Parts: sequence; structure tokens; C-alpha cells
Amino acid sequence: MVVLSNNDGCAVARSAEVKALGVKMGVPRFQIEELIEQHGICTFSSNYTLYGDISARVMNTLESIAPRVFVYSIDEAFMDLSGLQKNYSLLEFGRFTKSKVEKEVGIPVCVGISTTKTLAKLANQGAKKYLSTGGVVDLTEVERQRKLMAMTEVGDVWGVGRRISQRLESMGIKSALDLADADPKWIRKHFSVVLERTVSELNGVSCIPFDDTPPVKKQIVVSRSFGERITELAEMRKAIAGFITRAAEKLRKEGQVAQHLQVFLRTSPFAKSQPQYANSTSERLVEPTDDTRQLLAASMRLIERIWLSGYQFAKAGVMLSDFYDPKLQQQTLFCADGDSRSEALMTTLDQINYKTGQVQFARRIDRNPWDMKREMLSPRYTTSWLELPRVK
Amino acid sequence: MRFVITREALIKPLQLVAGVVERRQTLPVLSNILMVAEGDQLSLTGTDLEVELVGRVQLQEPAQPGSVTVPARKLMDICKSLSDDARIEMELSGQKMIIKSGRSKFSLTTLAASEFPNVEDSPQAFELSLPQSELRQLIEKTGFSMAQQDVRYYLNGMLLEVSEDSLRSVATDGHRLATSASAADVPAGGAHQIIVPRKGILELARLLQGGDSPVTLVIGASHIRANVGDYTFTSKLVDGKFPDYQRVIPKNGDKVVLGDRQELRQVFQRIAILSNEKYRGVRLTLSDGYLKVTANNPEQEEAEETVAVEYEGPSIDIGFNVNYLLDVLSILGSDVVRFTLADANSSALIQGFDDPNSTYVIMPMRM
Repeated sequence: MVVLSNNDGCAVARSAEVKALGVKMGVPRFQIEELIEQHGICTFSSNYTLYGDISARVMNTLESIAPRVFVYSIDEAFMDLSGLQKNYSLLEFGRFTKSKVEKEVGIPVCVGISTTKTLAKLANQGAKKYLSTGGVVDLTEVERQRKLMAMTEVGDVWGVGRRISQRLESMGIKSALDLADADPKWIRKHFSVVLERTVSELNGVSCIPFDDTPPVKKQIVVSRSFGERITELAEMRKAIAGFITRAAEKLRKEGQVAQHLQVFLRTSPFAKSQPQYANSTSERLVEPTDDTRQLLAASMRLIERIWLSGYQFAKAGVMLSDFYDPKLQQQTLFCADGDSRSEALMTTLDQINYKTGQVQFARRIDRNPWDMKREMLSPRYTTSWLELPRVK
Repeated sequence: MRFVITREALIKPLQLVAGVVERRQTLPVLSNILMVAEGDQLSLTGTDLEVELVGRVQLQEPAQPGSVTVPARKLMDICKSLSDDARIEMELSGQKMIIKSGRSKFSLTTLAASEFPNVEDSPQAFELSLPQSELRQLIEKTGFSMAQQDVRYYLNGMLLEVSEDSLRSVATDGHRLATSASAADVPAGGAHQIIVPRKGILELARLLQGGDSPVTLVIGASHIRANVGDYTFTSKLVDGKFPDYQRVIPKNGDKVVLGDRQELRQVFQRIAILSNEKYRGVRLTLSDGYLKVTANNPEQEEAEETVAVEYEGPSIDIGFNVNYLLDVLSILGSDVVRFTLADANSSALIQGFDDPNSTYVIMPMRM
């Protein structure tokens, strides 16, 4: 089975069987068309609504059994188990967690337990990789930590990116254990204080705060590659209008207001015979806003500033940044303090669209070629009444 | 072209003129300054097409006349690096400006003087004169409130308003407003409003070091010129409509607070340490005789201080960006500051107790 990216373009998630066929991460679908046919590989479009809902259910279950849970991403969370050790076996607790999630949500998870976040991530990787663990690893003993680190490539350590791992390897630091035994001062000098922290974490010194406040988004980007190249400004305006409408919805979902708006476009870098052009421009809005109408107007001003005729545009997008909390709002001298009905209007709009998706801004045409192509979408069982599974 | 000048005589006008030159330029000639030698006078000109500054220096011996442009920063760096009592000889040789001082010799590239753009002049409307210190005060008392790179381009500057007997400055960034007035001799029928761009204002303020000696302002339809001693400053005006500042100066405030300016300033500085770094919000809670100032940040840290003030009336709770408060308290001339408030959603009026000429308005922050 493979799951495809936005627009059903590339393989972004692969089952073990597909991996065994040599299908690499990110490979375009058209390149594996034959394999799909030959082996009967099931393909699915990305179904973010479903993933988001299932993730929320898993996190709910975790929160019901630990006092502090820090949701790190859609499929990762840290639980604070301080003090638990006195009365429970940590391994038992890990198994309990795993079976509870499986029973309540039906999703298999792996559990890694240790004294620092970096080691817990390492334990979790071990749990995933080695079937004999049963998906749960207690990595609190130093000896076991060192044993697992010796078997782990340095690039698989949490917080070590590809570039850093290449440099580390060239300096002879190949395994996680090599990194743990490196001189922290030397690491700081040649890399950064961030990597020095990783070294300490691998040695059981907790440096990364547990941080149970969820990270606030700092920017929202909505961009797409176009199925068919755009050559007319009118078409591009419609596309940008669609992006900014979506970005504004996301912004309101985050409960933030944004003051900075960027618009960008580019031709295809692969179409080498065509003239190339890429540009972006931005504007600092007079006041932070989450009102689609204002953002739409600003994005139209911006796209006209960078538009050039005679090019075949392959991609464009918008980015909102410089976010503010609408509850802490500097009031203004000259603007009538916002449009007091703006909030109600936007809330109503979002509610209607969440259910049926039928209220749209006129600039945006209802069904466009740049709308996300998701032809192989699995049903949104858990969030849409219309897609409930039927019992025959 | 050839002349001799002391470092001491050249350095100050050179620094002022080079200040106008932008670091990044579209036209190469804009990173140069124009040098014109004639008789016993040398003039230096720098421009960014919006603001132009001409400085004139008296030479001790007559020059071989001529004009040329040379790279501003390099010339300035060279002059700065020479010893204080250096004597500099400059001579144009072919396309190069040869600079000699003691045993040092430099050869700088030049561009022809004919390439150097003039800031166009516009028909003059009227003239007025006032002491340099007065104009400097008008700019200093309000300049901090100018907007910066705001899409409302007319806010990225300062409004100068000439009325019957006074000259007034107004600056606002949409969250706060500052205005200051000074008596001035204005010719009849001279009532006028102009917006001078931000950069022009900052450069002009640098020139006004002459205390009571006069500055003459010549105001045209699209330019302002200032004659300050040996300098002539010209700036384009911003073509736009400044907001009606009188409309936003609150008149309905009924809660008057008097406090010690320095003490309040120190309180706000202390409390600001634990305010949110992005929003800079502090909460002011007024009750009979006391003002409580509090702040907190996303790390849940808190600061609180109570200070005695002169106030009688109902309790009121109002939030402000602490930077806006500090900016005003730093610039006020008076020892006692007066806040006039209405309610938590209305702007605050701030004035020095014995300085009625400057007025500050700050909008609150919803917290």
C-alpha cells in the first residue's frame, strides 16, 4: 500500500511490502505505475481530516493515563512518567499504554521509555525496529542505552539532520554511541549548542524542557504545483485567491491573526527549454487580521506586483506570518477598530464550509484544476456523516 | 580641479553629507558625493533623489576650480583614518581623484559631475525663520512616533503645520501620536500643511546643532528647503493626506493622574522586563492615590509594582504597550507628568505638567 502526496503526485508513505519492492520515499506515481499494476498495490490519496481525527483520539487516550502529555507532532507525543517508577514497572506501564490505545482507537503504537527526550525517541525507534520488543522498550538502564546507541546510526538520533550527520560521519562519529562519547565542548565549537544538548541528552542529562504548552504556529503556507501551467493573470489571480482563502481558514483555526503576507510564483525548473522566472513579494498589513476579505484584497495587490506575462507558471503560493494573539490587541487611532462583524462573519463562514463547503468568495472559482487532486481518497469515517461506513 | 584643506575643516561637512547617501543604490553615481571647488569655496553634495544636502567649506587658499563626484564612504573612511591635524591635498588627474596627506597617497575612481542628479526645485510658496533649537525640539519631541515602512506611506514622515503664529509637528504610527508646537513668525496667508519624509526629518535634525542661530525654511509645493549656516538641505515632500490629528486627541477624559515622571519611567522599565516580548503589554490599575503596574509573559512570570500618584476617582484597569509609555516619559521636559484617561478602550492623553506645547496620545491594548 502507498499513500500519495497532495495532488496524488508522489509516494509519501509506504507499507513494508512496497518498500521491499524498492519503492523509494517521494518517488512520483507515474514512475511506479507498472509496479502498482503488477503487484496490485493499493494507492490512497492523503486524507488529512482522517489522520487529524485519529491523532486527536490517540492523544486523548494518552492524556487519560498520564498527568502531562506533550503532543510533538501528528503521530508523536511525550508523556511525563516522573515518580511512576516507585510503584510501577515502567515496562508494564508502556505495555499498558500500547494496549489501551490499541483497544480504544484501534491504532498500533510503539512506546519508548527513558530519562531524556532524546533517549526516549531512541527507545521508540528500537521498539519499532525490533519485533522481539513487542513494541515497548524501557531504556532507563545505562548499559542498555549504550548497547542500543552502538547499533544506531548517528543520523537516526533525534535532532541530527542529514547535513550534520554527514559532517559527523566524515569526522569519524558514525554511531549514536560515538556521538554520546564525543567531547561536548568540541561539539559546541564545531557544530552548535543545540547538538551539544543532544550529546548531554544521550548521556542521560535532560536538557530539552518537557514543555507542555503546544507550539504556536509561526507561519502558514498554502502552495500548489499546477496540473496545467498558468499563463494568464486572471487564472493566477483565481489560484492565489483559492490559496489565501485556505490560508485564512487555517489561520482562524489556529486562533491567530497575521500581519505579514507573502505571495510567490515560479515557472517549472524542469522545463529547461522554457524561459524561467520566479519571484515573491510581501506586505506588512496595517493591522494583524484573520479576515479573508482583507487578506484576499492584499494578495491581489501583491500578485499583480510580481506577475509577468509570457511565462508558464508551474507553482504559486501564499504565506502568512508574524502572528499575533487576537486577545492581546493593540488598538488603533485611525481605523475604526476592526470591523466588529468580521469575527462573526468569518466564524459563520467557517461553520458552513466545514459542513458543506458551499460558501466561497467570488474570486475563487468552485472547482479548479489547481484544487487538490485526491481521486483515491479513503472515506473520512470519523468526521463526516456522509462517509460513515454502512453495515450491510 | 585642485585644492588643499585641513582634515578638521573637511570631516564634519563630509560626515553630514555622506549621511544622506544610501548604502545600497540603484544608480552608481548616487553612492558618490559631488565636489565643486570654486574660488576659495568647496561645496559637497549628497543625495538619494529624495533628500539632498549641500555643505560648504571655506578654503584657506583659492582652488583650481572644477567639479567631480567621488565615492562617499571611501572618501569619508580615508579622511577619518588620517591624523587629526592632517592637511589634505586633492587633485583630479584624468579620471582619478588623487588624495595626498603626509606620506599617504590615495587614488579614487570618479564619475563626471554632469551625471549627478539634482533634486528638482519647485516654485517657492513662502519662507519662515526660527531658531535652530526650536525646530530641533519640534522634531525630537515627536519624531519617535513616526511610522516606519508602513503601507500608509504618508505616516512614514512628519507633518509640519504652519499656522498664523506657530509651527507644529505631528507624527503618528497609527497606535500613538505625538505633537508639539512652537511660536514662529509666519508671513500672512502662510497657513500650510506639509509631510516631510522620515529620512529627511532625521537628516535635518542632525544639522540643527546651532542653538539660537536661525534656520530658514523655504516651503514649496513639493519640496522643503532648510538653510542652516553653511548647509542647504532639500527634501521632497510626501504627496498624501495626513490623518486629522485633532480628531484623535481625546477630549472626553475625566480621570486625571499626576505622577513623578522619572519614578514612573523607572517603574515601567522594571515591569517591562517580564512583559511579553512581542506585545510589550503592561496593565495599569488605578485607584485612589495609587497606580499598580503589572506584566506577565508566556513563561507565566510576573512583575508588579505600586507607585503613589495623585488621583481621585473610580478604579480603572487599562493596558498599554510599555514601549509607547516609555518613549513619551523619556522625552517629556517636565518633572511631573499628567495622564488623562476615560476608560479601558479609549486613548490616553499624556502631557508634561508645565509643558502645554507637547501632547501625546496612546491607544490602549486589549489584554
